Amino acid sequence: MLALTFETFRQLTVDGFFRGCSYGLLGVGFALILGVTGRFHFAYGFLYTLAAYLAFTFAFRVNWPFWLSAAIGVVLASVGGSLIEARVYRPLARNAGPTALLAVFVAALGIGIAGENAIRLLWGANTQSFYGPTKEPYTVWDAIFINFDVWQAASGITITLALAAMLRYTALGRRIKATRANPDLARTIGIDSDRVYVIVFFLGTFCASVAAIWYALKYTVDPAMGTLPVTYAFVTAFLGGTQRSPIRVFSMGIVVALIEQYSSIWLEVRYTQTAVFVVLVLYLTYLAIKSSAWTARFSRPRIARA
Amino acid sequence: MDRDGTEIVHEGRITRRRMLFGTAGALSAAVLLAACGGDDDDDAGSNDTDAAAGSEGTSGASTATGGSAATGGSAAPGGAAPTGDLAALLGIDPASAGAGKTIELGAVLALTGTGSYYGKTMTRGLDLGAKHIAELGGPTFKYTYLDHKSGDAAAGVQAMQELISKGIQMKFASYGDNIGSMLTQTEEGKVFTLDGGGGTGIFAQGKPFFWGTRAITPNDTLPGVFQWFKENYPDKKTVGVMGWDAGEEINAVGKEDTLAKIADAGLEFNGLYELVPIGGQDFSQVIPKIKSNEPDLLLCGHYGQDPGSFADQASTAGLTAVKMSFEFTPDGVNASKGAYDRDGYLFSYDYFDPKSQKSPLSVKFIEDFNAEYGEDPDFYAANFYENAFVMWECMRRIWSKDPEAETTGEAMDAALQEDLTVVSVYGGDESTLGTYTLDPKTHSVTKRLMGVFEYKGGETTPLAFFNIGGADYEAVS
Repeated sequence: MLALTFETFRQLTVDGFFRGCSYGLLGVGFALILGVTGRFHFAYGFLYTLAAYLAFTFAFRVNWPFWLSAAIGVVLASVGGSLIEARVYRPLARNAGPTALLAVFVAALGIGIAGENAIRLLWGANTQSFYGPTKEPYTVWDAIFINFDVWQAASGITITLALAAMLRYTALGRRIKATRANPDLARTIGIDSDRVYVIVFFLGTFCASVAAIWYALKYTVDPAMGTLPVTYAFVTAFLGGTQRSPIRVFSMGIVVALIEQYSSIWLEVRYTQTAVFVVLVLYLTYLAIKSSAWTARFSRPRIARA
Repeated sequence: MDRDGTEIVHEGRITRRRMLFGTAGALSAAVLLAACGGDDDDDAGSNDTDAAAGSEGTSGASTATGGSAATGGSAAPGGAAPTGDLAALLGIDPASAGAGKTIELGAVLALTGTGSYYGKTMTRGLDLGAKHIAELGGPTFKYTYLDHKSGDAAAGVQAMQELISKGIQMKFASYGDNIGSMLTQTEEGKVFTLDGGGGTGIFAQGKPFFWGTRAITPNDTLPGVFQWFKENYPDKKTVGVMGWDAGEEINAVGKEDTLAKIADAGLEFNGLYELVPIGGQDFSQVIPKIKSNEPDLLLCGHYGQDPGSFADQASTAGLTAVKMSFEFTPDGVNASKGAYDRDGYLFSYDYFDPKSQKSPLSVKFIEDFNAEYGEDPDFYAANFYENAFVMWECMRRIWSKDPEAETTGEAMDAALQEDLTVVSVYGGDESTLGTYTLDPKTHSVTKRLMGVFEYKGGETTPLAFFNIGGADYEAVS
């Protein structure tokens, strides 16, 4: 049995929190898109990768300042998300009719795979170093982390709070929520659902793109970097609830990361991703039991009372 | 008709929009391409590549057919060793060299996916090998490149079906014949296979028609590594392991062998044996565990960019163990974000050091590779280049008995087994070619030059050289 110190626990907790901020931001964007539009946007991972590559290109090939390059990468990838909705998903969904969900899913999968390979063709298959501001380590509570971790957490929390406030207090937020509740009904009261979808895709991809920049700064840029994030985005969004507040989804990202981190205490590291999916399966089972006829029998009297 | 009329109007409207978007798309693509620059001249994804020199218009087939005359060779395109000398060193008999023949070979490699870097460098080695073989009076090698998608078992099986259906009975492979998934078809289809990427590993030894032409990594290197460690750190004893999760069966045999070798070396396993997912860049779960159980020597059995990411994070976390990895790639250097250059990066395997190669074949390979691709070849390019020559050597053995004989998988396998010491771009000197030797039982290498190296500040320095099992150990002063 390997030794486990309290220092290990603290380090796992701190790393889990920062990693969770990334999962949370990815989950917030994915939940927003899935919750409002119903599109299973598998190309999310490709746009995540694209944001990092565009930032890399402007910073190291065009030699523009790092922060400007990062901002351009994020905005262009977000526009790419909107274009995919407007030019691919929407026409497909309209033509596919009742099979729209499957058609969009297959198209998203195709864009994801083709996009990843297009990145390989354009930029090469090699890993690319992505340098920005100087990395600075800090030690707090005997746990080591770096300045990029702090900035990632700060940006994730800020974006999530801003998104939550926008949904709650602005006219656009109300339009998004109305479309999320019932797009057809929203149309009858004059809300342009198509436009809302495009905006939602922009905002969702924006979240992923910001997460991608931090990932690239902390690690590196490679064509397959978007594969795993889309999985975590899905898990976080699903556990957090696609119809729920971004704050709840973001928090769920931290929970998912902490589950992953703490499971490494008892499990080998190779099984920690599995632990997350075990939690997902347990949650799904719980939902199934909750909505089953057996549990409904117990809730009927309360309905009757109501 | 109304319906037709409607369609025409509809199509016209879409066409204008499409034109607008098409123009915008083209402009964006132009900007993007300009921004990307000419980073990648990747042609790895192409299929059915006729890789012989004929397409170069250098009439390679006639350049050096005389072969044996030491003075007869004209200079190779890259200005390397004269091909006449080389032909003599390779023992080429024009009668059995195969000039004028076209030979179909398969190559099932990682052309897409996380390991596509490997696929690219391997195809470069194969293409250059085919070009040089044609220049030396050999046949035209026509490759069918197929993709196993960086370790996808289903893709590997599908590729094998395609090769077998085309009647191709010779192939190059990587990833230990795609981590074992293609071995059954290799045997049943009698497809003679040389794997210079993954070798046999421990799990694929002795499989019919399958030959691993590189050392088993990391296990073959471990005795030499431990000897180097004991010499340089005489007061340190404990060893821990972190490596890729390659599947239960492979993990189990790898662990058993590693622990046995630690014990044989008189070192002490400290209980740390952590396996991590392939291709992961975030080591925040494993580093705290290592830190709590830090050994004196940490064996890092992971590859590609992963060691680079790990080195960067281990440096930040303040790990003090001597870290020994088993691969050195540009991806790792990039992912290390300066950690390799700053702290140094130790690695051990059958690394191809372009600076220390002297044999005429190696020099020609390195110079022409540089001329063709603008960079030094790495060990994957070297392994696949030399394996193209091994294929040719087997063919020549067949044709020396009957110039019209078919190069079937069975015939190639028998031809190889006639003499299991074959040509290599590793080792040798100015007047002799390097060789490596295969084992008739394990089908893995029994003799292959390897060593411990350190990369630091942009330079790679050999620290010790040895052979499999630590034989012929020699520290570099």
